Amino acid sequence: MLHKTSLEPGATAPAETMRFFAEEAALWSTVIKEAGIEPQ
Amino acid sequence: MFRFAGFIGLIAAASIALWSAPGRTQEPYPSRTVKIVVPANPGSTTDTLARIVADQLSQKWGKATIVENIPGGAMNIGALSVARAAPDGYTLLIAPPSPLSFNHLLYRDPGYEPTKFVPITMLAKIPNVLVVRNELAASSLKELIAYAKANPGKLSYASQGVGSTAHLSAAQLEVRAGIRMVHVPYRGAQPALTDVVAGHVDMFFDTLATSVPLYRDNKLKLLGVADLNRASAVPEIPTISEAGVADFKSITWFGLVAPPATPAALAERSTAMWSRS
Repeated sequence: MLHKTSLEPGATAPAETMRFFAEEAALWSTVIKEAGIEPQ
Repeated sequence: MFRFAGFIGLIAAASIALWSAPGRTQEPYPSRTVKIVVPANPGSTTDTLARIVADQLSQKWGKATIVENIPGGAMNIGALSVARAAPDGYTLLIAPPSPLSFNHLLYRDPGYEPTKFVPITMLAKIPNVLVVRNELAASSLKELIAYAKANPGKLSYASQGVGSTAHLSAAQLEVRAGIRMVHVPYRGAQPALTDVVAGHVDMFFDTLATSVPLYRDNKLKLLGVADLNRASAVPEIPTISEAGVADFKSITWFGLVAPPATPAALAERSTAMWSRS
């Protein structure tokens, strides 16, 4: 089912999920700041 | 190997662990309908994924799990509704990165703090890829960057709107490659991609799934995969890091979270359940 959407199942445990979310938030926070994108 | 059964087992285990934490009333979970909020329209990738998960959880739990679409406001409306829901395990959110990672940096008052959601699992992911119109005088990332540097502000990039992954991915490329481009926001990925194919806009960071068929049909050029490893679907295409912009990463992913203040997950138990499944 899921593979029909071409998505790769993640299935991370809660602690790993928390780390992953934090890494993503840090990445995009840096990009937003460095690119000077202002909040609307 | 496709591990969907284990994947659903993990979700079920993690969810039960959340709401069976010591000190809580020992009511079996779930004892009634569980609602999964999707902050996007029916038919979207997020919606499709949520309906697959809801169906599987309904079967596993023997209790109905339903999907409610609450689109709008750059996904902030649906996310806010879950942020304000009772932390009792009966309202969950499935969303892509924006409401779970960075919308609080793009909107002055979304009404919720993404980091306060309680993570259950990262459900699925897919890399983004950089595609350009066929006629563009660049057939590699190196040539694209050289063109952008020689013609500042001339290259245009499409996105699904301000704050979308495509917008921020292009912003990441601008910052890391030291180039400047023009942002052309669209009302979704499909019209953006259509305009790249038609040659009305120069480039777009799209998901692998929708771009690869167009690349195979020679309707656009695919210059790089925005992940740390090459994609098996297009092994001939370098990662953007390999192509010259170190550590460049942009993947679209979908998380399952619970409202803030939901009791902390018993992660060890969930992990053990996962490894057995």
